[in-house]
Amino acid sequence: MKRKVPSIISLIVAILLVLGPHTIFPACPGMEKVMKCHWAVQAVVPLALILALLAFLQLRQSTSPQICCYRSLALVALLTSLMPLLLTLVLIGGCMNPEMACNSRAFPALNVLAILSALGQVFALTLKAE
Amino acid sequence: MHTWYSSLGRLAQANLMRRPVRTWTMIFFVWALAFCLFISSVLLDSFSDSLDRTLDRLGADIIVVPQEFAREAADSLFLGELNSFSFDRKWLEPLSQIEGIEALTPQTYLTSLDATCCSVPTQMIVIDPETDFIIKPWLEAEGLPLPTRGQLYIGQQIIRPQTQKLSFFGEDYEIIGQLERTNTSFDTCVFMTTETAQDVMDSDLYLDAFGKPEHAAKDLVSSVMIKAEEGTDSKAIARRINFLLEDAPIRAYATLDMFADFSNSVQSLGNYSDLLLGILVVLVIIALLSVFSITVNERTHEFGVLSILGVAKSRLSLLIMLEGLLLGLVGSVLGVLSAGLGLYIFKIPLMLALNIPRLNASPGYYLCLGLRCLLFALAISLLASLYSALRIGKTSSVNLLRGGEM
Repeated sequence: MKRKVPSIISLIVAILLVLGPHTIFPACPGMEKVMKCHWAVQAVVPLALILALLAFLQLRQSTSPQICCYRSLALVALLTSLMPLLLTLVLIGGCMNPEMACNSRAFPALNVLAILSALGQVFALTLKAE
Repeated sequence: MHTWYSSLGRLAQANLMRRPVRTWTMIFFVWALAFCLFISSVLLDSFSDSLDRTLDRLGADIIVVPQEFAREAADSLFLGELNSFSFDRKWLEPLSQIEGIEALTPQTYLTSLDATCCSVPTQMIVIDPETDFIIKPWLEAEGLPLPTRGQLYIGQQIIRPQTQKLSFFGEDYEIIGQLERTNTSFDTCVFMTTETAQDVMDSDLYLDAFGKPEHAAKDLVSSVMIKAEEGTDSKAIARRINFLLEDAPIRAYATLDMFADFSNSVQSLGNYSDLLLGILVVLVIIALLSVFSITVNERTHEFGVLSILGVAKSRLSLLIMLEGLLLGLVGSVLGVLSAGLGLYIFKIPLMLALNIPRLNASPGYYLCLGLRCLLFALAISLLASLYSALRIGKTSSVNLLRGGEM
């Protein structure tokens, strides 16, 4: 059961990463000019899909007595979980004005989700073989 | 070859790893202490530094503003909030006659709108190039010209468009320069002359938004920045201004007094923070002390065996201290790292939620503060293990071997 928890967390995070920026915590609305935060949240979508796939595969491996495959998936999922942080903080970023929706809502939510998934995968890496 | 201290180290490590839940619980306490200490220090220092920088950057000893807008003026200067208020320029003349004033310069505040008519919602500060002593020194130092009609200087945080033009109320104005970072509200302002301000006020969209102004731009003043003569008391001059111009709709404040509210808030926050951290320290010490005591009492037989085998009591005490050291080290390092990372990732939401103009984020500052928090948390952890270490040292080998509570 313990081995399933990180996978489930990452799966939920992946779903929220895809749907969240378009529903619950949207970035700045596109007007005449499309802001770079729009592209940042778009770039998160393929990462979320990869994370979902990794989480699904990890879930399937959770019952296997072999731990190495599970841990390998956890490592890749950990790195994938950290990618949204890179996108929002370094690679693309958001609007200059800190009060814009991307900086006050969308990016903090994405970063929290990314950290949750990363922490789950760190926990997965510490698990021993059953 | 294993030395006694490396053996002791490995034994301490093995003891901790044998009980992972208890170990991680104790690490959590130290983590919480280091984390809270780091975060609160950064927030308080940031608030305090922002205030100091604003006061320093203003360059004015006394600020004269409309009587009922003192708070708005402080918010505008310190927090960068958009404000627009004014009084009649005629009051400049009696102000300039007052003894003790070395220089004075008027400024007018206008605001743009967060709408399609304007490139950015920003504070527009109208300066008097002839008397200004706040912006002009920067420009002269950089060899930059004073703005003329239709030209602007923008603060560091305003994005400079490729067209080198900003639009306010449907009219374009040329950007001739961008000021260096000041870490004050000036970073989000634009600076212009009276002629440019009049053009802004004459534009159709401005008239639609605010109606026809009662006075021309050249007749409006939002604040007067005053530099006092060397060796004079700014507060005394401010009082003199208020006394002599009692009937005027303006009020003079020594700069420090104008920001007294913010200064008092920082002071209060600091006091709250010290109190809460003090309580946290006491709680962490008690929690760690309790767990160490329980742990050591459980292992008295083990210590008895080691003692009988020839391990000196001092080394048994050192073993306990080593465990405290390891716990403290891991907890404090994790605490400082997670606090630093958390501040970096969530800098903007924190600034918005706590209304802090700027967050200190220089690597050097973080390094020094991190080291201080780490050493403090480590010291607390060692202190908590000291009691149990001393008790071990005072209990006889026979009593230890018997097991039970010390």
